[in-house]
Amino acid sequence: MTTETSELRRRVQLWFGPQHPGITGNMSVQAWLEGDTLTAGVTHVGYLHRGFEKLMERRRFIQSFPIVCRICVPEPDTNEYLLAAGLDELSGLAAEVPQRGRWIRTLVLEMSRLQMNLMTLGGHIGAMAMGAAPNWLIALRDLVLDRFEELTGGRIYHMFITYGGVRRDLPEGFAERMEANFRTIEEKLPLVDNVIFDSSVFRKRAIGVGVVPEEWVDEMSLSGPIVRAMGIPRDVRKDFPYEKYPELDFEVVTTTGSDIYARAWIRRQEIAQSMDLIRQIFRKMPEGPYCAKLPNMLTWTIPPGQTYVRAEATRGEMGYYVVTDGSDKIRRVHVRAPSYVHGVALLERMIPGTNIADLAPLMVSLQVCPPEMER
Amino acid sequence: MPLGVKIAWSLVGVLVAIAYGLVIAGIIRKVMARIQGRIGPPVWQQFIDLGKVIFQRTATRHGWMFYLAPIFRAGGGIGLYLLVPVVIGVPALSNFSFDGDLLLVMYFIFFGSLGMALGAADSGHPHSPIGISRGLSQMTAYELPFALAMVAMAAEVHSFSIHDIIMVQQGGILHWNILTNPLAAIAAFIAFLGMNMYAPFNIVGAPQEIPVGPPTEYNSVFLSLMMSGRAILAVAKIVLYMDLFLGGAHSILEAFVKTFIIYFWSVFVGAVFPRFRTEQAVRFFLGWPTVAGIAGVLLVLIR
Amino acid sequence: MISKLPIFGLAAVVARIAVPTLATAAGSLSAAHLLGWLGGLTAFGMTLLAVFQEDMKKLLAYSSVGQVGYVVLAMALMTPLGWTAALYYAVNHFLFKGLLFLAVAGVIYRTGVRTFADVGGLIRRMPASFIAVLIGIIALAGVPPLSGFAGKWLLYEALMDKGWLFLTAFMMFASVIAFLYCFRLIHSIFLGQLKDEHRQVREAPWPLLLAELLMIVPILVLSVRPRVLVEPLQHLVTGVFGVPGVRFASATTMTTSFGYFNAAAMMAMVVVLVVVLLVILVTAGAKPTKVNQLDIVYSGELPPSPEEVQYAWAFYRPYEKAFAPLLKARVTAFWNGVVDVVEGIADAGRRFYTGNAQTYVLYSVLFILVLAAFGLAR
Repeated sequence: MTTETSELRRRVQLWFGPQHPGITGNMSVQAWLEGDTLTAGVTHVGYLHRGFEKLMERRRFIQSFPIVCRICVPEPDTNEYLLAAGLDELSGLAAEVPQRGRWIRTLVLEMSRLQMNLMTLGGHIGAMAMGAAPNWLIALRDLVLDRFEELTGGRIYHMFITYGGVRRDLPEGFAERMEANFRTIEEKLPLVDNVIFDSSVFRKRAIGVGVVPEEWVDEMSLSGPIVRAMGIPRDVRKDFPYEKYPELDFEVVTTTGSDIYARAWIRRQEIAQSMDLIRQIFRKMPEGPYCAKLPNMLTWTIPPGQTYVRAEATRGEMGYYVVTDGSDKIRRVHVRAPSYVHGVALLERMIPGTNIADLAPLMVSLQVCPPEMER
Repeated sequence: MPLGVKIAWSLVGVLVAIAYGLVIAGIIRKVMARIQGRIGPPVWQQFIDLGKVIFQRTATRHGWMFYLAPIFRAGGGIGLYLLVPVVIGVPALSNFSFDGDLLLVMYFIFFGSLGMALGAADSGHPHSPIGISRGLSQMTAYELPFALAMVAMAAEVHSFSIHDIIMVQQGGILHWNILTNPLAAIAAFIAFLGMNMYAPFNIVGAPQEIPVGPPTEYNSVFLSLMMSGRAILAVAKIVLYMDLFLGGAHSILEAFVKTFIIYFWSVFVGAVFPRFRTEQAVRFFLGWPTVAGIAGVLLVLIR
Repeated sequence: MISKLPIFGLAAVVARIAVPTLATAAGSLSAAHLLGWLGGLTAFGMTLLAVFQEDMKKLLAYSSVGQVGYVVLAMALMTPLGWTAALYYAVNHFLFKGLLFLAVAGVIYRTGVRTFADVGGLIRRMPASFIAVLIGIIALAGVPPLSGFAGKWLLYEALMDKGWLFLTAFMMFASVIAFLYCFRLIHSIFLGQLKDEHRQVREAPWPLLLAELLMIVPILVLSVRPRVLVEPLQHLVTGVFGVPGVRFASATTMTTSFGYFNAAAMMAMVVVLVVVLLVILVTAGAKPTKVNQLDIVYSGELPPSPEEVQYAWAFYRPYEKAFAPLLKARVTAFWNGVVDVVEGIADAGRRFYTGNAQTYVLYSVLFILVLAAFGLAR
């Protein structure tokens, strides 16, 4: 009479995404649920229909810049910088980039790290359905976006860093207005800390949940806050310094625990770090030209060559492998994006045994940016 | 009072209560938005939403049990409201509360929940049973402190009649049960957080996990009936709490003020907390709230 | 049904022996109080275990044991109201649990499976059995307006009347846990997705449906007029105690020293509300289109198959986790204790077995001598 209940019937197939409030963007996770525990999960992409790397092979160099910034919408400047740095290196423009141009690039990179961290920190608790803190943090992020708009003309997509330097000099009184914004942010942050890090419910939900084992770090080449939350001080800005980071004074933030709470705490500390770095940049920045003399963008060619450049995004190490063949177009670009590792390999390995309620906070805490997987 | 007149008055009361529930929900959306630093929708947004779902041109349904959930949800809310006296001394507004005591009221809360669960599960969407499993689990958990508080209230006056419980609280704020038995009141008001399903106990809908729980498949008129049912259920619960702990109301204005304050208790807590996992919510209710409830009953036994 | 027989036996025994001695000791921690807590803990523990069963019949069996706990508790009250409650509860339980067993038997007969995860969506094939189970679980859960509520109401009034406050709250808690398995029972069998191999299943055989009808009719009668049953039980109880527990304020309103309850008004209210709301639902708005079983909102993807969309296995896993300290640790500790005791006894026994054949011969001789001594002594 009693038949053995098959594995198929014990579990339920659920899709997190593509139309799901708990997913971090245009991707989906197909997961199998038994009781309240997910037993397996597969990350699916393919909802974006773009193919950035291929698009760039058919564009002139300057035309590639509006494409790369789409690779991670909330934090486009790292992509712009990496493409610019790769082209600088291959064309020999690198030596001509003026000092002030390099300082402004560093400033833009830090500003973009700041605004991304503000948003992600809110996402941690927003994925647990707390509406107030994410909204406050988004409002604070908007202050940084105001400065971006003033500097670049765009709030989200900036297209500001180009080969040879940056497009524009800083406006009058930019540092003062930035400082005023920082004072507002610093005034509000203790309140945010109070509802996130001191909240008993958040501590219950986040401490000890989503722990990444240390042996996976080299096996999967993890990077960014995930690694720093284990106590490993790995940061491209320190390990392979680029632009003006060697001249800035900062320590890599680390903590232990490797759980959602630790990663949220790392992001909170990096917000303070970014603001400190931006203040240092304003103090140390010299006067002078901001961009090298650029060749005619329509006829410019770059001699054959290949290079790998890297930078620290908020999600981890971001790298561009750029190949040129002497023509006026890029031969091949490969984007080494942290989300590809964290959102596919790491996430799929962490899903078995995860509570269904913890999947959304886990994805936020791994900071998955779907276009990076499907570039 | 003849039965026909009574029914007519009750009908008016039900409509007013639904409107009041919708307004209160609108005010809450506004307050939540202001806490979060947004402007927020207008106060009458709930009426707009209700109208929108009623006049939707496409509607879908599953099996015939699909009809049951909105009916039981709205019926449970209206029935509960009809069993609770709103204003003391006014027969028109004490509804049908002489047909059942506190026990009936307590069990009638489940009528809506169970019926809603049955209908929603017929839609065949996996999010429905997962949400129901969470909701029922949490319901049993807050029932323990709630039951302890109710027992303390009833033992105090040696009666399960809501009228007797109101009458013993007359004669000033010092006679209110919230002050005469604060421990039981604490247990009951924490249980109220679970009943109202604001954070950290909003595990049933949980958009980030199982959007949006039991009513996932509902649309059009089904959804509108469900929204009205939820509005009147919320009003009925706060009226019950007002009767049990804040000494009832002598006028409609007093009822509005008191119920509004009670409802806002759950909103102010809900604004600043993330959500519990299901087992954490269950454990929470079986912990300190239950201890408070036991202490409340002991307080009655000692006196 | 058989589980109810000891209740009447218990009633008879308690009535004969215990009433004179125990009823006087009311208030203090008497044997009756102990029996009450025993009944309460049975009701709570068995209800909790029933929630986690994956087998229909096991769920009903655990549920029955739990329900008997309520009856024992009501019996232990030693008041006229308590006994009325106990007897009413026992009869009522006989009705709805019989109904549930019959209906579930029909399902098992037609489908050949008894695990929850293997069925589902059978409402489309077996609507009559579904209605039987629906009535059964509403009565079991004690949700108004069906007859189960009167039983719960009598029990709580009796408990409060006696002054066992903690037991009242504890029983309210335990009876709400019953909702969990009630919903599980009806959802996993009848609601959700119909599996492909059950598309041709027929309704339960008519003798079974007839038997279910024989249970449903008394349940509905009791729901509208619990007095039909309460009054004869009152006569029985008055014979023992001399005073009745329940009074009838009007034809339909029952009152006790603690509260009042009008079953007919309750039923009328529910019927009117349901009919009015159904009319509103059917007439207002656009006419709904019936969609297929797998036409569901599925995060923008395709639902794979009824098997993988039906949530039935480990239905209350979070609840199990919340009660894990109570369920696992205690049970394990208990059995560890049992194992320790058994091992200790075995260890003591092992000392006799030295492995030396001569010792065994000595034991045999001694044993025969002891036997002989007994024989002589006789």
